[in-house]
Amino acid sequence: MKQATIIISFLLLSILPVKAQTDNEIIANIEKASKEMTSLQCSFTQKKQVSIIDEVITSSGVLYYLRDTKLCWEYKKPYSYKFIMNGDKVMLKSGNTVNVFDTKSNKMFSQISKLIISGVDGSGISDKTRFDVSFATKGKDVVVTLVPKTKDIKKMFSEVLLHFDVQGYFIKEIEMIEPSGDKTDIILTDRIINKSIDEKVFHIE
Amino acid sequence: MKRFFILSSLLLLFLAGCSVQHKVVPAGNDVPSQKYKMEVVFPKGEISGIMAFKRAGGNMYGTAVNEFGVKVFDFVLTGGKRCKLKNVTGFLNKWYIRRTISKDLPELLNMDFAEDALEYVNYRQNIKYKLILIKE
Repeated sequence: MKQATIIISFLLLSILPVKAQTDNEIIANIEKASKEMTSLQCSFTQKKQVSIIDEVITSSGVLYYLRDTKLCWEYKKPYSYKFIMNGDKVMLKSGNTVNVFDTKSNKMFSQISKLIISGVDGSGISDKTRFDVSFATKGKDVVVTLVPKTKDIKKMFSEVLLHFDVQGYFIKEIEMIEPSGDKTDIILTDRIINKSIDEKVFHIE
Repeated sequence: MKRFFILSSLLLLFLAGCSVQHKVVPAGNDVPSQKYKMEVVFPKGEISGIMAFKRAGGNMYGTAVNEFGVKVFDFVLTGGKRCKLKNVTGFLNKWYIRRTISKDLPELLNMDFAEDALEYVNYRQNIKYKLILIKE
């Protein structure tokens, strides 16, 4: 029994540092890729699972991101809707209706913008003040699980999962799980990284 | 012992039935939902997104989500009159807002669905609801 305990202890000791090192490597790789990424443009598909109607609501569009606080999140289907964040300003455009907000005065948009950006540029993984962070590998992906610590985010999401591809350590999927268990899955495709983007894309009317 | 098994099975069936009825539209309902572009304008702000709902067994089951997929609320409309909201998002989860929306939704959703756009105004609270059919 004593021998078995010793062997198990050695096994655990030999595994733990490797696991810790792997997590550190993952963080370092994602942070390195994040630092090197100055811009991103891609298409996205958003799938919202709704249990009360037992259905998935699908939307799609394009995303433009310029480091650090410029984001254009444009839905093309099922209808046109544009969300532009440029510094502290957020513009929402639906059809001909345009609304401009200050992120400082609109908590929900502020939280959503921060979440999207922390997912897109990977900064969420080192944000220990707002999230408990854990890592796992799933096939060819590294999955980073963010469990919100702050009351405001907790009300919206119980967990946020960021999927990075192991090759480039760039974000490819964001899963947002609500307290009710319903889930929003955003899959990024056709990613173009570090190619210049016209500033007009982020223009706030 | 046999009686125990029968009682356990009945209890399990009852519990399973309860959970299904509480959480989702009844199983076997494969009719796709109707989806509408939603705008709700309050005196101090507005919510936009998608409202989707299904009819089943005389009830209506639905959801309202914003463009980012964040749930605004789920609802069950029983017999076309009684509306129960579920999973209401934090900033709307106040008894007086839930009560107002629960009263307004039956008025909005009992309108003639032959139209592509539905509108209802709660003049007392100055809230305007607008739904525009999404043609997929």
